[in-house]
Amino acid sequence: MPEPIIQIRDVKKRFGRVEALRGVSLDVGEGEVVVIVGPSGSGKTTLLRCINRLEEYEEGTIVVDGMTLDNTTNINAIRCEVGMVFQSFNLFAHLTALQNLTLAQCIVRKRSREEAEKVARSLLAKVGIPEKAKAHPAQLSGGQQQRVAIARALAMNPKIMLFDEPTSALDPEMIKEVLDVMTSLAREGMTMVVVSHEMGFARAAADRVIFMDEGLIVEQATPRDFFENPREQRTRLFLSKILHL
Amino acid sequence: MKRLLWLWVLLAVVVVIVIVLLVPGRGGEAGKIRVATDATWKPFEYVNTTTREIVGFDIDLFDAIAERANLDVEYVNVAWDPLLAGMAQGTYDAAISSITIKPDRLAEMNFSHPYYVAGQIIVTLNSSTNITGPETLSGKSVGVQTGTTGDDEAQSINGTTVVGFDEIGMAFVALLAHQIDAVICDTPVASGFVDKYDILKTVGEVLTTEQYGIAVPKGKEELLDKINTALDALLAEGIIDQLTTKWLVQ
Amino acid sequence: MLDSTLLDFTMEEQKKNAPRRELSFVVGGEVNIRQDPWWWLAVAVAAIIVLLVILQPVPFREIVLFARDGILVTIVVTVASYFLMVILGLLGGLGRISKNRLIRGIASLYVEVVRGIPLLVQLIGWYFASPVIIHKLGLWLNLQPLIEYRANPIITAIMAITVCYGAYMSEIVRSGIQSVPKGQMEAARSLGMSHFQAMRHVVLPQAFRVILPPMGNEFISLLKDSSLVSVVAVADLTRRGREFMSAHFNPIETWLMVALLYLIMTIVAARVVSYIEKRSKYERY
Repeated sequence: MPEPIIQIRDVKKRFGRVEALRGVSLDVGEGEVVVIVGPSGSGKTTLLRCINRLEEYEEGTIVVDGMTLDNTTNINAIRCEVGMVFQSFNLFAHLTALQNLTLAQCIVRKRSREEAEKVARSLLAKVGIPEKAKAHPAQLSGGQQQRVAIARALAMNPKIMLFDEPTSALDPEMIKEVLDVMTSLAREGMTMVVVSHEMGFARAAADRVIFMDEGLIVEQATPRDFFENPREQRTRLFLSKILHL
Repeated sequence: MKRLLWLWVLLAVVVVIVIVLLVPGRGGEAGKIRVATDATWKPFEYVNTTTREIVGFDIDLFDAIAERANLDVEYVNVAWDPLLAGMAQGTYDAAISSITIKPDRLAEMNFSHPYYVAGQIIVTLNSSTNITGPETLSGKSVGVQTGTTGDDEAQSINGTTVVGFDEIGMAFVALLAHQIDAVICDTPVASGFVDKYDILKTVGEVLTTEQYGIAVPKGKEELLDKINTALDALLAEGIIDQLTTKWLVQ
Repeated sequence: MLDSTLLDFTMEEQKKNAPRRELSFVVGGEVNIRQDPWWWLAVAVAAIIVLLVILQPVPFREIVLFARDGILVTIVVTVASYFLMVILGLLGGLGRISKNRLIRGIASLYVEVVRGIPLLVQLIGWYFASPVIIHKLGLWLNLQPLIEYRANPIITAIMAITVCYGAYMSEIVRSGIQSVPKGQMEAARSLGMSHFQAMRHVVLPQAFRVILPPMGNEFISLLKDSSLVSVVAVADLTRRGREFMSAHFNPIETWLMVALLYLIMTIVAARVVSYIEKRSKYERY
């Protein structure tokens, strides 16, 4: 069994007095799609942001692609390999969609302008909006912006993609187009860690669903087991609130 | 964005060139003495606006002194406050600028022998018939140029409200606009304004006697001696009368 | 997909009508110089000046001719100080939000102290104190050029204005940078960019658009404050006005013309600033 590409061991993190993570351990294998669910304040976003060190943890270790995340690592090198998609898109507002995708490629990956543009255009086509290359984010709908954001992260050819509630800020009719992109990405074998409330996506695309509450992992299982046969009381409580069918 | 960047670069080049041109060598040529004057005090020192030369009673006087004492002179036109401070610090070699010899100034710099006796006078509007002299200024507002002997004089009159201005022209503007009741300043300047504006007049006698001197910083006693020697000789020859005729008689 | 084709259609129409521009602009928000009504004000003031000069050459034409080198000095002092102040402001603003405690402390101290002292006092301080300091330095280091140093009043004036306005500019830069959403920096870093690269390519360009209007304001403010240098022996427009007035005893006419000259300079500067602002506008989401 190959080494898990993400290894999280006993990670603890506090914000001032508040303990956000109280000893979380998790392994993610290469090509695995992991969806993390839980109530707000459970620490799921914090955990995600620890993986690319947007947050720093106090205790425990995280190893990503063989590199340990601590104060000595070259964090920029790790971040090339770990793409992140944010809830509020965070597209560079002063650049066109195309430029959003080529900027980091040229500066960080040191690709030539032509090479970067080629990659960018093919990715924009892949997420379904090749015609928007010269548009500015302000001229795009929310769903389009998020798709550009996904393409921007993919342009760096990362090994891992992190999604922080990617559809929570979208109008309902645009959620599907983003989830479609994520699903096809999963099918292609990308390692994905997704924090989301979209249970449909979890059921369809996840290899594993993880439930977090109050800074700890409460339960993890395959989607079928998770939704049909939750073991823990708290999981069942959460699911009953979330799944209003 | 690129066009703005070019603008900045162009600006940068211009600024650098200008600054390089403006930075002087070791100020002034060797051998010349630098004489400061605040050329805004007609007819003692002012700028001839056609030729841009600094001219006036004081300038002619110092030119004569320089010739006598074999000095090469360069006049520097400086505002009043930097002039006095410059004299205290020794930035200039001498200053001639209707500077009244006062004890507090003597503490900071040396003065030549006095060369002119000046006075302050009150200026009012023609329509102000009730102001005839310093006694009648009680309860009235008087404009002055701050820091001058006119200022001191006005402060010493009981019961007046002294209104200080950065420069004397502003005091006269205020007087003409009926904002203040009178102005106290040096007699030559007062004459200049009264001549220009028919509705102004001088009232009363000349208020003070004060003596103008040439200021020389402490530490330049040798220069001071040269100046005094030349000055004494010129005074004996009656230069003041000549200059008075040329500059002060209407 | 209907809405996106509609959007594309209107964009095509816009593109046909819009002149080519390098900077992005708000859809529908194009500006033509001729449409800015305030240029008429500049024309009006210029007309008044010309009228005065033609109808009453004594003293107005004489004033303008006499003061023309003062106008140049005013412009030079303003432009030079502005340019240097922007650089200082950039450094100060970045320093204020630096992670390094020492840098942050120095920048904050600079801003707080300088903002607390009026410009006039600073000008006077620089003018009188700097030769003394340099002189003492020269004695201490035994460097002849320093001992004989004679301050160039224009240089000290520019330095004083730069330091003073640089503090205000630092605050403008700081708030501009802080107005850029934190997510922008996070997105840039998560793509692997270093802090410096993220600043340079993502944060500062966006901060620039926020900083631009107050920057223009500072230029106009600086132009007027430049008249203070007349107090420290710089022969600018104000000083020339004073000299003229003393030679001719006509304060009202002299100051009227000087005021008009300052006015035309500030109005033109304000129009240029407004033009630059409009050209670099875009909508943020």
